[in-house]
Amino acid sequence: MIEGMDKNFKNKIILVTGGTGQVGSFLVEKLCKKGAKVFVIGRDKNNLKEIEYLVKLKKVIFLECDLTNIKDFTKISNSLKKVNFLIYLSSELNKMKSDIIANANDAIDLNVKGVIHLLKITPNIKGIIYASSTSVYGKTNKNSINEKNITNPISFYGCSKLGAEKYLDIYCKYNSILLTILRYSTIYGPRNRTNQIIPILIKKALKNETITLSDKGKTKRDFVYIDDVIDVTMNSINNYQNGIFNIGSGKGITMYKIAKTILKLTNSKSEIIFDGVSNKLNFVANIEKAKKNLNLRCKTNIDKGILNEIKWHKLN
Amino acid sequence: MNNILVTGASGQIGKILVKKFNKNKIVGLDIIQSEKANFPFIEIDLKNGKKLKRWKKILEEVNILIHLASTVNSSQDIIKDGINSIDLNIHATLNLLQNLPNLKQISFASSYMVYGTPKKNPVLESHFTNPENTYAASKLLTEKILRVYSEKMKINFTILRFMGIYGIVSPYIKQAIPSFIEKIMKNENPVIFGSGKVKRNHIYIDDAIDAIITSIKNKKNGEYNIGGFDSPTNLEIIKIINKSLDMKIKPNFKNSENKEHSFIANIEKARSILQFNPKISIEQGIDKTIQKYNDRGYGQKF
Repeated sequence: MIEGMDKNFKNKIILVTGGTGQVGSFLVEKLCKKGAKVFVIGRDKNNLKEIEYLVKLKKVIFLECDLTNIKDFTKISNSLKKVNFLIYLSSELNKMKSDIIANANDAIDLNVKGVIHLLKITPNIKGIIYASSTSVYGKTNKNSINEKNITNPISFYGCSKLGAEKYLDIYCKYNSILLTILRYSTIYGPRNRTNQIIPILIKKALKNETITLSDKGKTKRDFVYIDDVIDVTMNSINNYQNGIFNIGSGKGITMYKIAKTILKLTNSKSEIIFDGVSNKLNFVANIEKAKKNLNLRCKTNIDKGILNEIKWHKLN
Repeated sequence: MNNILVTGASGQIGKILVKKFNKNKIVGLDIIQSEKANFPFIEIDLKNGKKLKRWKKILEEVNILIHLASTVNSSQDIIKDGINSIDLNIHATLNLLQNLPNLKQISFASSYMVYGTPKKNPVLESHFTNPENTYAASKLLTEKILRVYSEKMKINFTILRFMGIYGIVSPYIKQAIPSFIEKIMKNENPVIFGSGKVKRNHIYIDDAIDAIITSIKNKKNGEYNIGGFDSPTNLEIIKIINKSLDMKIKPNFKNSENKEHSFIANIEKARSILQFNPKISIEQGIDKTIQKYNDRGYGQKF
């Protein structure tokens, strides 16, 4: 037995899609440490980023596959027959694109059809973790949103995530497979390559550019730090919990507070202005279910978390 | 101006619906044109969005979409039927929307199946949605996409979650009511899957058509249950058919593959907001359906 191997991971052959992304790369490193056999699917073998060393050490088997390209699936299908656990994290591609109808077919192709195509070539899967998003909820007037809240996404991206949840639910019930759906709120911290609000503000602050906030900066959002996300995701692999779980901090922070924090931590001379737009898209996740069942703990305060992300952006 | 586009215009509901409008207002669309039409008809497979460009002129005039086109295949087997349901219901809808630049209003035919097994009856629109097959999942996802699109484009959208529609005579329909009528007319025992005791508020075709027309007139956004006001069991339906035909045929029972449950959609939201008022009782609906079979020369000839 390999030293430090965790018994829950000993027999696991895990496939991680989106394994080079922010959550994916940290998770793959952890899984390797635990002694799991890990396959990673990604679009480009020349862009392995943080997990390149693990592929070189042969701790991770990397398979090049575009999940929207059927031809690619046939190439990799033999390698995946033994996989017994799937962690589906792919989705960054469409977060980057603007959420317009012309891109909606692509969001459906990756986030819904991609999953189904993958299930076809992984017949021995016993458990699935699907990384969904709190964007499935859409607009709401409530102070805190739990998993039973109505789901009316306001983006095609949110629709595609919700669609995948529903198709996976049918698949897993029909085949008696464990399904954990993790609805992540906005994740921040090192390796954040998205175009979400925190990295955008950090980049502007570092260049002393003017920061524009809508809704007078009063919009409240739920930001969750990457380490806390990784810990709870590892717990859910360990625990075999069927169901849907919000993964967030459970706290709402205004955009103004975020911007001020970033300016302070970067010693920036950027000015904050308000554009007069009012969209009132407050969102705070109720995380009681994940706290209770998946032992979600938010250990990182926002100042420390943002500082870590700033340090990473300065180096990258 | 032909400004109302009906997709699924060759389908059982579409065929009747298009005749309710002035021929100068309507455009039909389906994968095949089954009947001659005195209005423009677009024969196309919506999976292939590029081909829609050929109809640019006609599609530019459309500002009301009545979206009935859909696959009727339904399966719990995602591997077998999942991709197909996405291509035929979701990609088809997305392709269509991208080719309707002047759209102002959408009415979409969804299904009670988006709810899954009801937690309690009657089922309200706020009930959680837990699709249990590919058909229901693709209908739900289409609903959500239409909602996002309508809100982004600031157009009206009405989603009609239909209960089972009856009163259509067609060799392709395999639902309970027509199959019972056909059997009893032939002096054979109808087959009930399960106990025959679960309740459904089926809706008669004329009332279903009425709901679609009402939704176009009233422009009220949101999801609406559309069902009848009676909630008969299959045993009761067989009794009503026997009474109408003056027969006394008993059903045979077979085990149901799936767990059976009643499903009664609460239609108060559609009544109060859409002004939808179903008029046909189950007895009247069955009489009318039997009349249709007689008109087509079924009945005593068997």
